[in-house]
Amino acid sequence: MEPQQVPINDRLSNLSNDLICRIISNLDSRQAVQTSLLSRRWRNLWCSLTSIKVDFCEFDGETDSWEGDQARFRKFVNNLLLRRDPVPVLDKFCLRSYIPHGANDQEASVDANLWISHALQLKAPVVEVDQDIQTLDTLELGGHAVFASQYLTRLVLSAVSFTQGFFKQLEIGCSKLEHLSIYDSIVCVDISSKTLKVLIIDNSEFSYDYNTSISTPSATSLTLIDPGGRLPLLKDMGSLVSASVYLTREAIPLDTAINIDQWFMGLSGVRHLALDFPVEVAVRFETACTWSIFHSFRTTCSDVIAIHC
Amino acid sequence: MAAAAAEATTDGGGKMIILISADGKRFEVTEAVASQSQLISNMIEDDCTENGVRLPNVDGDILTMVVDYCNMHAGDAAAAGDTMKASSTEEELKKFDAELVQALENPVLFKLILAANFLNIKSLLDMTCQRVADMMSGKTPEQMRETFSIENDFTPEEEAAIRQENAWAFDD
Repeated sequence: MEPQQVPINDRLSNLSNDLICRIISNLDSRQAVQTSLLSRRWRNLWCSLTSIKVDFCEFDGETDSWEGDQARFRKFVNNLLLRRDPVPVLDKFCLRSYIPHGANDQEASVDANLWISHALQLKAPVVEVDQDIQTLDTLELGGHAVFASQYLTRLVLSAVSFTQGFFKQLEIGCSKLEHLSIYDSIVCVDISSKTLKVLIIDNSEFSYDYNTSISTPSATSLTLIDPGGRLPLLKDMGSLVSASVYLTREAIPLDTAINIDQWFMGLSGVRHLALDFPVEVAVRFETACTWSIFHSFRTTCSDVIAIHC
Repeated sequence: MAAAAAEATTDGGGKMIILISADGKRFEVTEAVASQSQLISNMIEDDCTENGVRLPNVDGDILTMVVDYCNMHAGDAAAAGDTMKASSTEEELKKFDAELVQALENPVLFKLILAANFLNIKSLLDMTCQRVADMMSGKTPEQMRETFSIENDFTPEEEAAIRQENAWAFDD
């Protein structure tokens, strides 16, 4: 591109392309594309965005129906992903969707999966997916989309659910994944990963009639906050250094879950343990839990913080 | 700064470096403070900071801000292994950064971006770029032009053509 004459007091336009792209990568991507209208200098700068943030909220209420808004959102994301210059490294892909209760969430999930898959092809190391929690509906991840990337290190998911093969595919396809956070989601499939170092599962529902298992042999940090359904079985957590377990719901599903002693064995070996239980569980813990297990904690943990609500 | 020098006897941060701004102002900082700049860090490694580091494209007033920032954040790396210490200063750092960035206006903001980019101080560059994005956020292209004195050099036809081409990003 020819260098353009830009007035000296326009300090923003006088920055290098790299710096301008760095700046507009902080914007919502729709607004970033709209900077193409500022002046000739800006016409194609958005094509080199290093971070993509697409948010349904930007389209909310533009037509008289959710379907209309969603169609515009879909058109926007498809165009953005196709027209952006594929060469500049993509640092981050953030998707915020909104599926109202009762809407056709399957179609929205198919789109979301394709977009995530595309972002992984663009080598994004960080992917964040967020469905509006208020609607009680989740985006279903997995299915026919391909989740494979040697670059993905961090995955943050909110209000999603998973198809059967999702974590298997993730384990095989994303061999550099080290950080997985799951918020407000439904986890009815086993989680397994040989590369995960940090696993956070917050306010999520596990299956009520199936013992979901977590097997992350390299994980050094586990945070499990307010799980619903059966407590997930902790298998193969040999590298755990610190664990935080907060069971704060009133109805703790321990009756249907596995033996609590056995469950805690999954945490043996951790050095930093923080526990937080409602009082009725704390009582059960103290009476039901065999002392041998508690002893093993005492000997291996340098600090056990047990807080009874 | 003299006090900082007297304290900085650990972590190899005791050695002092002189930074010289475009207008000849001299700043004496520890190696630990200066090496937050990747550029200077590389120079330290290559042993070429003996006679002071000349920064011909950074003015004294901007370099003052950069040095303040680096002095404030010098503890970051040292305290990384000491979580208690890090968390106690984290609040102060956040406050310092927020106040610094809030006070920034055109043209100082852009001079600081250029300095952070040249000196290669990633955290300062991220913070200042974010500040510009915050100033752009929520504005229409017309309002952005006004905020940053951007001259619209499109002909009405060209402007219409871009709207057409990128219609998927506009609300019409």
